[in-house]
Formats: sequence, C-alpha cells, structure tokens
Amino acid sequence: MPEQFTISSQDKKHLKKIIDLLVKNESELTARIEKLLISLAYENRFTLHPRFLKKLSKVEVDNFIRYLQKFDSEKVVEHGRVRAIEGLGEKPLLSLCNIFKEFFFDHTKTLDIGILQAAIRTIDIYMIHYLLGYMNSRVEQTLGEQEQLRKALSTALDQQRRELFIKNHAIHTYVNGIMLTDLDGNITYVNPAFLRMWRFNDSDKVKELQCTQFLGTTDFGIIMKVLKTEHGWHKEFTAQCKDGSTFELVISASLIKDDTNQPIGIMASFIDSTERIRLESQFRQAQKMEALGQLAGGIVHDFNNLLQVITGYTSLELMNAPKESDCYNNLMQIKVATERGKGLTEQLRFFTRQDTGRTRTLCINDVVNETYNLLKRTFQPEIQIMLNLDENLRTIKADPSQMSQLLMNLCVNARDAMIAGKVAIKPAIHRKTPENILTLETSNVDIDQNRATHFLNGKPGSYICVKVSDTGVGMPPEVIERLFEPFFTTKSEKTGIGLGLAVVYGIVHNHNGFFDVQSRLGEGSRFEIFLPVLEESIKGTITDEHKPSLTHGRGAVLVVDDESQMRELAITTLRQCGYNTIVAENGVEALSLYKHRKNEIDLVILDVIMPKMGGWECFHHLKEFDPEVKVLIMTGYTTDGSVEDFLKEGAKDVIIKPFDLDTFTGSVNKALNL
Amino acid sequence: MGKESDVRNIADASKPNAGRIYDYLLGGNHNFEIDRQVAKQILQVAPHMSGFFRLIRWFLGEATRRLLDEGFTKFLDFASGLPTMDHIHQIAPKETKVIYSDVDPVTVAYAHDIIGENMDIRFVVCDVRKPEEILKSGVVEELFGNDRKIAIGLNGIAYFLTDDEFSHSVKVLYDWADKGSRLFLCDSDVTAAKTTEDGEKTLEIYKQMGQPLYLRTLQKTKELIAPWTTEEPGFMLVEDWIDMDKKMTEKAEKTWGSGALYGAILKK
Repeated sequence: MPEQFTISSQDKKHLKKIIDLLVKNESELTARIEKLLISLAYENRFTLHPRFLKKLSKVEVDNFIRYLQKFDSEKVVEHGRVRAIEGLGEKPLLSLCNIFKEFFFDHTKTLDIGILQAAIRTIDIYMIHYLLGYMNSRVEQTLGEQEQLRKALSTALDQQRRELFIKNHAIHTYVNGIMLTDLDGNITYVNPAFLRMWRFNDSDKVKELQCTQFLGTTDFGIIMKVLKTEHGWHKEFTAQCKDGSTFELVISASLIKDDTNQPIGIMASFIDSTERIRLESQFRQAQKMEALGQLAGGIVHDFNNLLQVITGYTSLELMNAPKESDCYNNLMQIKVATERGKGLTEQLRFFTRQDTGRTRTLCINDVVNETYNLLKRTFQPEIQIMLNLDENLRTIKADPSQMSQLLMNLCVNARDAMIAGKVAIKPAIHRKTPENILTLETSNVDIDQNRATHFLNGKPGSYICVKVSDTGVGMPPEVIERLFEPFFTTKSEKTGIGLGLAVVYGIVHNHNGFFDVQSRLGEGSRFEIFLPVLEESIKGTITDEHKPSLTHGRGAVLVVDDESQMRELAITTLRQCGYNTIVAENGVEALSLYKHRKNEIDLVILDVIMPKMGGWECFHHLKEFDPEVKVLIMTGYTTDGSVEDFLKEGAKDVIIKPFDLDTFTGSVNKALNL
Repeated sequence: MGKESDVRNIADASKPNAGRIYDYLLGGNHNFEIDRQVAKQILQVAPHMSGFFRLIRWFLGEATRRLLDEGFTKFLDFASGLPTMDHIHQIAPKETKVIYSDVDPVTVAYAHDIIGENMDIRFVVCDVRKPEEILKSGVVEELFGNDRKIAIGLNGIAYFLTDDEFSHSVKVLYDWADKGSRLFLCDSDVTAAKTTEDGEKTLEIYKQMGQPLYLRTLQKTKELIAPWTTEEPGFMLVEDWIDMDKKMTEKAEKTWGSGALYGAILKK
C-alpha cells in the first residue's frame, strides 16, 4: 500500500484521543449509523435484509475502532469485501464515511483542531481500504453474475440449437416430400424425399425452377388466393417426373406464419399416392370379383346339375343304342357338347373359388418345367422362353392340375401380347423390347408385415413366387383394372372368351395366395404369384390320376339330393348296377330315414347344398348317430368345407359334379368296401 | 407446464422478461439492455417499484425466519427465481430441506449451478398455476418423505395469476398439506376505481411484455385464499412485518392511487 494510504506519525499522536472518543460515544455513533442505514435501506441490494442493519451498525463501529487500534488494513479490505457480498449499497457506504466525519466534527469542537484533522485523515484512509475491498468484490460479483448469465445464454442457445436441429432433421428426413417457398413462389428448400419423388439429384436445380411446376397449376396467384382465404390448398393429380415417368400425387400447402401471425412463406407437402391408388383399385376389383364370384357360383351350381342329368341320361342311352345307328351318333354329339359345357363350368368353378381341388405336396418347379416343355412344342419359334428357377425352391401344397392351368393361362396371355395380330389394342403400341421373350421364374420369398401391405390380401409369411413376364405390348391402367373379370378380353372373339385370368384369380385365392401385376404400355407385363410354402419341405411330383371304370355291386344306398333329376339319375344308374336304392330330398329327411332304417342302409350318397339341412350338417348328425356310417359326398358347389375336410371327418369319398357314371359307380363301390 | 407466453427463455435477449426486469430493479446483473429499458419505463411511471421488489424479498426472509423459529424444517417455494444470498436455504440452518421451483427451465438450470451439490435442496421446473404437478412428481416425497406439514412460499407471484388460478393453486396446496402447515404470500391491495394514469401505464407495460398483472383488493385476496386461514397478525403491510416506515406504501398510493403491499402467513 502506498505511503499516503497509511496513517502518518503525526496523526498517530492523536490516535489515543480519537479512540477514546469513539469508545466513550460508541452507542451514539452506532445509533447514528443505524438511523442512516435504515433510512437508506432501499439503497442496498435486496440481499441485505433491514433486520440486520442494527447489527451491521455495531459491526461498522467495532471495525473502525479495531482498525485504529491495530492498523490492519487487510482486515478493512476484507470487511469491505464482505459488506459488498452482503449487499450494502454504494450510497449507504459513502454516507457512512460522512457519518464518521460528522461524529468527530461534533465531538472535537472544543479540542485541538489537530485531533479533528487526524480523525478525518484516518477516516479517509480507512475508507480507501474499505472501498478497495468493496469495489473488488462488486467487480467480482458483477463478473460472476455476468458469467452466470453468459452460461445461461449458452445453455439456452444450445437448447434452441438442439430443438432447431431436431426440427430441421424432422423435415429433412420426413418420408414425404416437403417444399418451402417465399411469398413470391421462389423455392427456398426441398427435402431429400422431394428430390427422390421427382427424380432430381440436386436441390439447386429445383430451386431454379418455378414452384408451380410441382403444384399442378401454372397460376401462382390462384394458389396464394386460396392460401390466404381458406385452410390450406389441396390437389390430387398425375405428376410427371424429371425423367418422364409419372406417379399419382397428393399435395397439401399452407402459409408459414410468424409470431404475429403474418405470412412469411409457404410450405407444401407431397405424398406419392400411386401405391394407395393401385391398392384401392385392386380392392375395388376384388370386391367386384367377389360379387361376380357369388353370381357365377350360383350359375355353376344349377348348370352342373343340369349337365349332370344330361350327361347321365345320355350315357345310359348310349349303353343301349346300337353303334353306327343315327341315334348313337346323335347321342355322341350331345355327349361331346356336354363335355364342352363341363369344361366351361370347370373353368368357372376355378373362378368362383369353389373348386375343391385335390391338393398335394409339390414343387412348382416341376409344373413349370412341364409347362416349359409343352410351350416349346406348341408356341411359335419366334418366342424365346427363358427359365430361371430356384433350385432350392420350397414346396407348397397345391393342386397340380390347377397350377398347370394357372401357368398355361398366364403364358398364353403373354404369348398373345407379343405376337402381332392377336392383340386387339389400338392404336399400335411401340414396344420397348422388340424381341419376344417370355420368362418363367421361381424363387423363395419371405414377406414381412411392411411389404405385405403393398399387396391386396397380402399377409406376412414364407412364400414361393412364380413370375411370368413378357416383352409384349403391355397394358394400360384401364385394362389392368378389369384384368381378372370373367369374360373380359382384349383379344378377338375367336381367340378367347376371357376366362383365362379369371381362372388364375380363382386358383391363386383357392391356394391362399396373392398376386401382383406390373405393366406399362410398350414395356411388357409381369405377373407375380405368391403361394404359401409348406412347413415341411417335402418334394413331390405330379402323378396321374387313377380313372375308375363302371362298377357293379351290391347293397342298399340312400341317395340324398334336393334336385329330383339328380336323384332320378342316381337311382337309375345304381339300380342298373345292382344296388337297392332309397331317396331323400334333404338332410332332415335323410337323417330320419337313416335313424329308422339304419340296418338296411349300407351307404349314404349325400349332396352338399340342400334346403332345410345341408350336406355338411347332415353328415355330422349321421356320424354322431352312427360313427360307422358310410357316406359318399357328392358336390359341385361348397362354401363350407373342402374335399380334405370331408375326408378328414370320415367321409368315404367325394365326387365332383358333373361326374362320369363310371366315376360315380366306382366311388360307390369303393365307399361300400372301405 | 403453464401458458406458453409465460415460459420465456431467461436468456432470450430479444424480448424483455419480467424476471430479468425484477432482477435489475433489485440491483442485479442478470439482465439485458432491453430489460433495463423497460425497467426505466416502469420507474418513470412507478418510481417506487424497486423499493417494492425489495420489500417482497424482505418479506420472504422475514416469513422464513419466523417459520424457522416455529420449528419448520421443510420448505416448498414457488416462483423462486434465482436462489441467491437471501433465499430460504441461505437463511435456514443446514439440513433444512428446501424445494424451489420456477416456470422458466433456464432459470432452473442456472439455479442448479448456484446450488451445486447440496443434497438438501432441489430446484425443479413447475408452473405455480399447476402446483399439483410438482406434488405428484416424486421430488416432494423424495426430499420430504411422508411429512406434509411444511412451509409453502407463494411470494411475489399472486398478482401474475388470475383469481381462478390463484384460488386453484392455494386450494391444491391446502388439500395436499397436513394440518399445521403454513403458507406465506404477499399481494397488493388495489382498487381499480382509484388507479391513476401512471398505474394504468404500469399495467400496460406488463401486458405488452406478455405477463399481465392481475390486481385485486385485499378483501378479494382474503376470499381467494380459502380454505387457508390467517394467523396472528393476519394480513399486514409488508413494511410493518419488517419494522420499516411506510415510505413505499405512501409512494404507491401517491403514484397509483392504491397498491399497498400486504403479506400474511396462513395456516391449515
């Protein structure tokens, strides 16, 4: 400390007197200080509670006295520092100095002037040390508080940065397209999803373009008008990407507003709805097919019964008619015609998904190879047929004949799309690939929940995929929409009646599968069929069906069918083969008859669709009544049980209408002897 | 928690903040130029405001000391601001449990730096309009255990709450606390009919900041605190609580027409 801030030796001569004055009048001085501090309480910082001012007053006096006794300036500096921390204000502090001086002025009037001068100089030096500590502390406090504020600011900024980062990334990584523009329509930002959607590589290129290019309108003014007056702007349309490809688009746009609700920009979101529209279309198609299926199913049932009667009686008459006679020839014509009719109902039955089928374990590659061999022999040589089969293809449970039918139908369609003159699509379509290539592929596919949603009726699981693709003319959307409708065709009348893909549809659904069709005009078509795999991978091969011949036998047969002509045909045939017959019109009657005449009846031939009580219910009741009952199921239409189900429940056999009489009598004989 | 307009970032220097203005008027350094400008506007129409704010803080100290003398060792404080030198935990002996709360998360984060590792203190984000949130949060049980006979501070906040909000807050706290608990608060006694032009200007300044003041008469305050009851000495001028002259009350009445500050320690 410089010399001028220490008590001079001259002043020290008066110190004892000064101290005596202070000690003698300590209470008075304390009261004066207390009064001062209380009057200036509001000049202190808030941290100095008025309750402490009385105590502080005493402390001030004691501290000054101590200084005069020991001249410990460090303690005075510390005292000043502490007072600053406690919150003593500057004004009270400086006023304190005056109080001390006033005190000595009042109490030295009659004394040597040198005492007053010494006291004042001592007070000044004391206050210098006091202020030194005080001001240093205040500076520390201020800096400390500002540092705290800086940290708070930094924390807040970090928080804001984090929030901004998240918000920015939310837009940047959003799965749908986002575009931001200013109020003049200038594009200021597009996210990566937008770029992918529109097939751009560079956002800068996008920003050079007009926003109206992406909004499906050329008039930005209209957009602004709508945005200002309504709750956003929405539009759906077919958009064209940079590379010329198209997709279905849904746009929503709204104004971006600031805290004062003033518009500062525009935000537009873009959703690719191509997949949704495609699935909606598939769904509508499926509903339509369902309705058609119901209609066709009824027709098939009735038609089958009629065909059965015609076929049956024709066969009976053919047995009696002399060969080479006109009658025989006429009957053969009828038989040929009914065979054709049978073929038609068989195809329709595939479509109605009412074909009960005979499934077995098989590897579809076998069917594909057989189909390939057949195609090589029958298709035009200019059609290249490529095979790409998975050697480790998993097995499925399927009806081999239906699989053959499915593949054949798809391949025939593929061929017709490639060979000129057979396709009736006008105007002429320019094909991307002029070569005629038909590709058959198989593969194992595991479909997860996410991918399954892309297919109508798709379910997650393990599948095999059969892919049939061609380089033909392709199909426009309006054709794809109706592809699987029965009797829908783009070919000429002579080349097809339009049941091929309806049959494919039915077969796929019969086998709990689903499919996908991709086609573009000029680019060919691809059909993907997904069929669920069998748990156990046991390879199977196609075997030939065994065809029984007309068989005679013995026993009593109860024939149950609601169609009188069917009953008549059946009993006529059975009687001719040596059986006794009993008839019933429905399940209720049949059950009653069987209960009363159980010991007479060796076999029950049971139709499935009947009024009052259908075949399935009647079958169960018969089994309940007599677990040993022999039942032969006769069906051409069922919605409540497949062939396997009847056999599992104990039916001896199942025959499908319309059937040959030799099949019928063979099954009867087999059932009786089982 | 709380209205979005109340959750202002204490470090947002673009807009004035009531808490920072309060700090400036108390002589602190946790404020920006924008706050000091608004503070000066307030002082022009209400030159006694810095004195008023000191009174509010001194009342907290006074109430705390009295409650400590009565044996309370657990304090729950709302709208605490920064836990500086004169706050509850600085006045109270060691091991007194204190939970501070404030609506501004940055104030809370800031406060954690000041408190440090003191295990007897917690500072959490909570809006005094929804005290149930802090009561359900687990922090109260964590620090106070099952003891619900506590001292609660609602100091310097009542005039930022509407009548409904104020009534809701005190009722929730009453229902939660055990018998014998105390709640200390202060509020101004304002008669709208007597408010001067300067008083209206003060209200307008706070309204423009997005933190409007809801002034009420003392009579209204007494109605709203139900079912808490007053204990001796009841509602008293804050100056009387701390044995100060009534300088500030006189200034408030001169400037605003009314607006004396009353404090009370309520009981359940």
